[in-house]
Amino acid sequence: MNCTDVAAILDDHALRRLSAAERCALDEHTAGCEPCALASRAQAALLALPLPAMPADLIERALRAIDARAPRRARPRVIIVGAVLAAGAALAAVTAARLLEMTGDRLATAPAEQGGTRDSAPTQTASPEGSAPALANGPDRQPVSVEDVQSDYVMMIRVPPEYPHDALERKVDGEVVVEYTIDKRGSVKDVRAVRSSDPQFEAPAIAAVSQFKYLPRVVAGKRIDVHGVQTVMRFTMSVSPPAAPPLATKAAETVRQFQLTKPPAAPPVGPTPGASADPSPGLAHPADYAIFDRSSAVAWKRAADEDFRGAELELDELRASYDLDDRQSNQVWGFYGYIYTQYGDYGRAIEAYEKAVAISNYAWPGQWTSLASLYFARHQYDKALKTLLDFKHESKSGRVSDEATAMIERLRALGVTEETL
Amino acid sequence: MKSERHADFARLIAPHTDALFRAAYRLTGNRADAEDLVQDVCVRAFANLRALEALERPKAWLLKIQYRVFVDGARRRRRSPLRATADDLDASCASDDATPEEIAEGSIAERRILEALSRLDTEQRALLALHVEGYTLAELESITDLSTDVLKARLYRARVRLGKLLAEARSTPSLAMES
Repeated sequence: MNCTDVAAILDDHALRRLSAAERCALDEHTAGCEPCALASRAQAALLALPLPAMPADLIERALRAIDARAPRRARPRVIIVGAVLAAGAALAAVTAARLLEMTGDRLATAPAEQGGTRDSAPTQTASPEGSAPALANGPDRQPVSVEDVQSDYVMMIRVPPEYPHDALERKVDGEVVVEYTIDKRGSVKDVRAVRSSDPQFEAPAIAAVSQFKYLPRVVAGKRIDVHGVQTVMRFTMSVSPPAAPPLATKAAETVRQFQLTKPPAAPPVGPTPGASADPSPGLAHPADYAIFDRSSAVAWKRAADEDFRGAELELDELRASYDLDDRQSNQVWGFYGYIYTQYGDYGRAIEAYEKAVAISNYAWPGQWTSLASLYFARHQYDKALKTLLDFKHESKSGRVSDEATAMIERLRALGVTEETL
Repeated sequence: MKSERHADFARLIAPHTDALFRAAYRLTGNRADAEDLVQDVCVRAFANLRALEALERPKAWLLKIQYRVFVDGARRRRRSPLRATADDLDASCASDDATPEEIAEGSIAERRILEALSRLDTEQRALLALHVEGYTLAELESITDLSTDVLKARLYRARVRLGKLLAEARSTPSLAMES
């Protein structure tokens, strides 16, 4: 018998099943082999260790611990990421990660109930235009704003929801999480409210979301339906006071805000100091938005019909005829990138996406990852990584989407890391 | 609905709590920490209840979680087995027909083992604790994500080290009695 045999006996739990002859051989070996002697003595000691009985109420106490550590009930303005994960599909999970990232600065994040791996402690941060101050300011600051916090999918057309009349009168803020499918054309269908702070916000939210238009998701050259996409729509009673412009900073990358075209009846406010001083473009020029939106709708319709040349022409015209603000430029360049990618003209697609993400306040996660994918496809791995790192840098939370993380890993496997740049 | 989930969970976990607790005791060396550890595992398992229900062998998964929680140093408080309460020892050692001498002898031997275990590396200790529970190398492989060869080598080294620590403890018996 040698050391390997002894180890095998111990590994296989065979100590107690040894025949007399084997026992003898073992003793003989251990008498002259200190390590094996120690090892078998240790094993015997371990086996001899008495174990206390399991407390009878262990499960009960565990359940109490579960309750005690359960995520605190989310406040109305909070997105429960767990609900997103519950949608199940991999794509939905990506969306969930985005939602968490994109809203991380303004949420009390509830730990995902389903995704136990995400161990986020609830963090409470005040939102610059939080609902409480808004309500306090209520009578002075009447214009109603609606924010939407978006997922990875690039939205082409958004339609503001109607602020429920009753909520407006009572100056109630609200939030609805809607879940839906983006179909192969980029239209929205199967909309349902997953959660809401108040049922009265659900119908307007659903009605608005149903009119949203996206760039269809393309996988391996084919357009696909994307299920389980979620958007959080937040109804708040005020635009921000000039002192705290919420969208001037990086917050703009996470939350896009637009103003309802018709402010409530009384008192007449016109452009409030808040709106006019707000550097967030578009708020002061709703008319431009109307033109832009109309033109976008035409371009979207053509792209949905796979008339990419027609869509491109519409964008060319839009760009030639109007001064686009940053948000609009970002959207247009992103759209160009999408169209050129569909053409297979990767060089121009890259150029377009580079212009889109250069307006980093408004860049969509999907634009960053599309750009990185294009570089990747052209074997420009260092540029791909640089794009992803820039994405990470620009993202307020410092986190990126699962897609981006996966790409960083693939690059690492190819030997392209931050250090090699 | 909540209580329904609780009931589902209790039903699912009940067959495995014994094994979890035994492994946790060997890992932590005392009852209180063992209970804490099992509770940690339960909290995680509850969060993944639906996934857990779909598993063929939930026990392996549960042990894996426990192994990870322990090895990752998630233990917030560390209690030395030397500070194990009299309560612990009573519960674990006393059998109806043991003489006081036997009980005393048992306690000393037990403390020695726990003390020696506590001086092992976390991972060595975790491996031994799981192995002695009766798991095969193949099962340990799936719990620890280590290859069989690595497991063999580490188990052997861990045993030799534990043997040395025990031998040292025997030569200085006062150590075990200090507490």
